[in-house]
Amino acid sequence: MKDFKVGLLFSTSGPYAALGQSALDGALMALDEVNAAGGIRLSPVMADPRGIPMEYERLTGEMVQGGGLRHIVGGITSWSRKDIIPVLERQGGMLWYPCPYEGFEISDHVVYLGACPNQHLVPLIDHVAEAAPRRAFLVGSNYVWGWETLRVARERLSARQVALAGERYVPLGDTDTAHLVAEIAESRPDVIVNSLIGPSNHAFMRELARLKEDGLDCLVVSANQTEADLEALGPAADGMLAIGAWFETVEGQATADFRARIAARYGAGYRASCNFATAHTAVHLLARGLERAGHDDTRAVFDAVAGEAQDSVLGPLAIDPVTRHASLVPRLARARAGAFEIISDPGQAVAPDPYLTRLAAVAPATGPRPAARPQLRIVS
Amino acid sequence: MTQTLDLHFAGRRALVLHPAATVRAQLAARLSALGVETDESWPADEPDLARADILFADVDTGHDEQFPWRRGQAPIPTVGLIQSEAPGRLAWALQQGFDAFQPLAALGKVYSTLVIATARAAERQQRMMRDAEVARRTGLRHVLVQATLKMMRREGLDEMAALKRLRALAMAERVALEDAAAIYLAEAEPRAAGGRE
Repeated sequence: MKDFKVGLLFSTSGPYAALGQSALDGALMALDEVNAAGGIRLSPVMADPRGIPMEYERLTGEMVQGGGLRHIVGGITSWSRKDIIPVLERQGGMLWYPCPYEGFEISDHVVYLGACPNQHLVPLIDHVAEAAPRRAFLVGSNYVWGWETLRVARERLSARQVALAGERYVPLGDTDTAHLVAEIAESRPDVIVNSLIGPSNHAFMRELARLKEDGLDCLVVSANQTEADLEALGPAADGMLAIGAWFETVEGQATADFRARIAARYGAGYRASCNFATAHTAVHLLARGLERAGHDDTRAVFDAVAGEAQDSVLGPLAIDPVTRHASLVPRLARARAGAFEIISDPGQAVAPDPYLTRLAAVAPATGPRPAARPQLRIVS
Repeated sequence: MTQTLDLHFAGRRALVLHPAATVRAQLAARLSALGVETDESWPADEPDLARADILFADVDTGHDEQFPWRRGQAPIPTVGLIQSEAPGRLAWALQQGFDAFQPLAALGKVYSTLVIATARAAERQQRMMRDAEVARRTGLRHVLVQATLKMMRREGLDEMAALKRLRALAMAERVALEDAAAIYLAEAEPRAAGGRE
């Protein structure tokens, strides 16, 4: 039986440790499933960059040095991915990236398994716009995920004549969000697009929950919430509308079986997430490619799995051979009592469009709406 | 900021002039992911540019006679495809005035190349239009002199007062000063022909 080493590069400590741990757990479970199936043998090589960008670069270099290992499943933030890619370009190697991200990238050294904006933010905003909100407030973490997702939201909302009540950015890891909430109390938006991640997200949602108790009627929507966030947020998450390629509550036998296997391995109380399911999918896809190619040449492995419909725990999935992104099923869910209630599951995968080239024009609004003055300012 | 940039290329056509079929195919595949259809052409001595919205041309084998325009005056965005980095070839490419460059080792970044080439071409077109307007107005200097002299004679004004009145006419008609001078002369001529002067 052929033996392949697989790098698992997730931050299981540091500012977004919960996300990294969840993805690592999913990858390790898939690794054991592959080994149990008996076609090939995968040996994990693990490292923890602790959420420090430079560590991704150094540890990737160590992993691929000398050609001992050519495939890495890892990276959570776009920042981490952008630190890994140059090393893989220089030394050879491929990253199987398991997180939703902001799009506008195609690297020959990456397989993008997470959703890009036409699979998360665009359908989310289009859904919200159907209720004809008048004013939107945009808030995000001050790095490329926040900037680009909110840019898409801003352009999509303004094309629908939704006025912008404000757009604010919070430094990564910053938990001082009181000024944001005060501004929201003042501007009274109907909808808040939340692209905050980690502790900033949790601090903001808790402050906002207090405002809602005082009577603010406002829908919060987000493309980066997982079950791990629900655990941290408790009741403060209730009512939030999320979009994702996977939630624990996706209906069907495949999800039930998957959850049973997760419970058997990690315990009945374990909360899996989209990152867990996507990293799990990444390892299985990589294993299929390695088995078919018979060796770990990155191009051969990619060609062996690209362009073909695959079954996965995420549902039907295919990797586009040119964009190297996955088709995924975007599911809308509402947070309630610590879980995501699925409110819409199209059942069909949406093809990736990382550069938003196929984005349909928005139908013009039917009537004039009172316009509020946008207040644009970057808080960094 | 992004409103002023051209970011969507779906539905446009690119023409790729490169001797290597693999390069042409790779670029066509990348462009198709952005919704851009591609025509390929080689040999490229008389490329059919009529349908092209954007041109990609090999720098290593390129020469001015390939293109039916003067250096720096392409009517569409142009991109130089870089393989070798021979200084002579780079010098030619710069003189040809490509709007952007695309190293063949980085075809994955063709989106940013499209954004840059389109933005630079738009700037170039605006500059060309401005330059053409300046040249046109320079060519009308004698008309301005004639109109000023005629107005001085007919209205008994000094040159500053005559120029001021021509400026007022230009503002009222929303035309350049030289065009206002031409209007004044055209209106003055028939009366002049009547022999009242």
